Amino acid sequence: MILVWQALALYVHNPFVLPTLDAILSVLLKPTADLLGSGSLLENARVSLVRVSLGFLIAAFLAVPLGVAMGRWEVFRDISEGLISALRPVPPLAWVPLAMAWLKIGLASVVFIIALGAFFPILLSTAQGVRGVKKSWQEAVSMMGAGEAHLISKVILPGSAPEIWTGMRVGFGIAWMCVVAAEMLPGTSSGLGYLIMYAYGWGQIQVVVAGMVAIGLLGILIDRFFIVVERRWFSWRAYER
Amino acid sequence: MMLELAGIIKEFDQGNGKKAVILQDVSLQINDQEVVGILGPSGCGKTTLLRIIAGLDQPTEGEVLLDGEAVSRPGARMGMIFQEHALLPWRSVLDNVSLGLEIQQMPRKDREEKAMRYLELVGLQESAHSRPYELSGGMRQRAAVARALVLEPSLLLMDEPFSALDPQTRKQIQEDIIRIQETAAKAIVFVTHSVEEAIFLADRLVILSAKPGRVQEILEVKLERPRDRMSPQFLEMRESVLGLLGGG
Repeated sequence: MILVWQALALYVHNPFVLPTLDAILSVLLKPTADLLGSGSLLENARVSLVRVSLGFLIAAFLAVPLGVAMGRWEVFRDISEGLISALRPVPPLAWVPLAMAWLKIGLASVVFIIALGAFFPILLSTAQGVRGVKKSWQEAVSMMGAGEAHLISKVILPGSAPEIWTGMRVGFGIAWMCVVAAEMLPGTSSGLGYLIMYAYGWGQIQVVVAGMVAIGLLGILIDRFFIVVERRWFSWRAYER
Repeated sequence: MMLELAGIIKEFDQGNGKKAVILQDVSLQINDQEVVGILGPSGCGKTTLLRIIAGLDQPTEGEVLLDGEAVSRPGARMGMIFQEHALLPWRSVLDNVSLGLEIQQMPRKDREEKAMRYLELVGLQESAHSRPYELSGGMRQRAAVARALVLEPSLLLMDEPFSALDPQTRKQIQEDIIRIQETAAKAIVFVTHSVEEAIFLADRLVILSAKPGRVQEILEVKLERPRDRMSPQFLEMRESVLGLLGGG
C-alpha cells in the first residue's frame, strides 16, 4: 500500500493533493519542529492527549458508580434506562452547538464532548458486568458477614473489573475520535485535529497526512496499553463463566 | 450451639397466581457438635432448607433460631460450603481464605497466619499462592472448607459439596471432614444425594419426602467411627434408607 501511495504520488506530482512519502516522513521524523507557526507535532499531540484524558477521567468517574448502581439496584436501572435510551443514539458531535452555547468556546466544551463520547460505553459495560457477577460469589462473601459496602468493594467491583475495563477501552477509542473532531471546530487553536485542519488551510497536505498518521499511531498505542493491562490483570476471566 | 427450625414453610410464586409449596412445616433441632445429613428425592427442597438455615433465603412462615436468636440474613456465625466452590478467581487461595478476616478488619499479618493454619488443616499449604483455577476440583473444595472454617463458625453448612468430585477424591475429603469435625468440634448440617455419604458422615439422617418437602423420617446412625462402608451394619442401614427414599 505504501509503495502504491509513493508511485501514485510521483505520478500525480501535485503535493497539494498527494504528498510524497519522503515529504510526510520528514514531518514525522521531526516531531519537535514548529509547523506553520502553530506548534510542533509533539506539542499538539500533548494538548490532544491532555484533553482526551481529562474528558475520559470525568466520564469514568461518573459512569462507573452510576453503572454499578444501575447493575445492582433495579429501581435505579428502571429510572435511568429510559433516559439513557433517549440520549445514547445522539452522536457526541451533535452536542457541539449546545456545548458551545452552555460552556462557550474553549477547553470546557471540548472536554464535555469527549466525556460524552466515553461515558456511555463505560456506563453500559459496567452495568452489564455488575449484573454478571456470579451470585455464588456474593453469597459466599455474605456468609462471611459482609454488608453491602464490603460486597461492592470485595466482590462486585473486582468481579466486574474486566467488563469495566473493556468499556473504558471502547470509551477511550471514542473519546480519541471525539477530541480530534472537536478540535476541528471553530474556536480551537491547538491539538492534532486543529493542526491538520490548519495545515489543510495552508495547502500543506504532507502535514495533514503526517498528523493523521500520528493520530492513528497514538490511538493504536493507547489501545495496546488497554489490552496489555487486560491480559495481565484479568487473566482469571478466561477460566470463569 | 443450638439450632432450631420451627414450622418452616416455603412457598414459591409460580407466576400464574398459583403457589408451589416447597417445604411444608419442617421442624427440627440440631445440637452442638452434631452432624446431620439431609436426604431426599430431587425436588424435595433440601437445598432450599439449607439456604433458609443460612439466611440466604427467607421462609414464608416459621423461624430459624440459632441459640434462641432468629436468623434473618447470612452472617459469620455459620459457614457455608457451596455445591460449586464459589472461590473468587482474582484472589489467591490464601487471599480467599483470609477474606472473611479481612472483612472483620484483622491486620494483614494476623489474618494470613490464621488463614495459613486452616490451609494446613485441609492440606493445602503448598497451594496458598495459587489461583483457584490452577487447582483440581478436590483442592478447590478443600479451600472452600478452609474458607468456611477460618471464621470459626459454630455451625457448618454444606450443600452437596462433593457431588462434582471423582469417587476417590470424594472418599478422601469425607474422611477429612470427619477428622476436622472431631478436631474443630463443629456442628454440621449437609445436604446430599448419596445415601452412602450421608451414613458415613452423619450422626442423624433427616429424610425429606417430595412435593411438598416435609420430614418423613429421622434416623440415628449408631455405627461406630471410623465407619466401614463395607460392614454388614453399614450396608443394612443403606438398604433401609434406600427403601425409605424409594417408598417416599
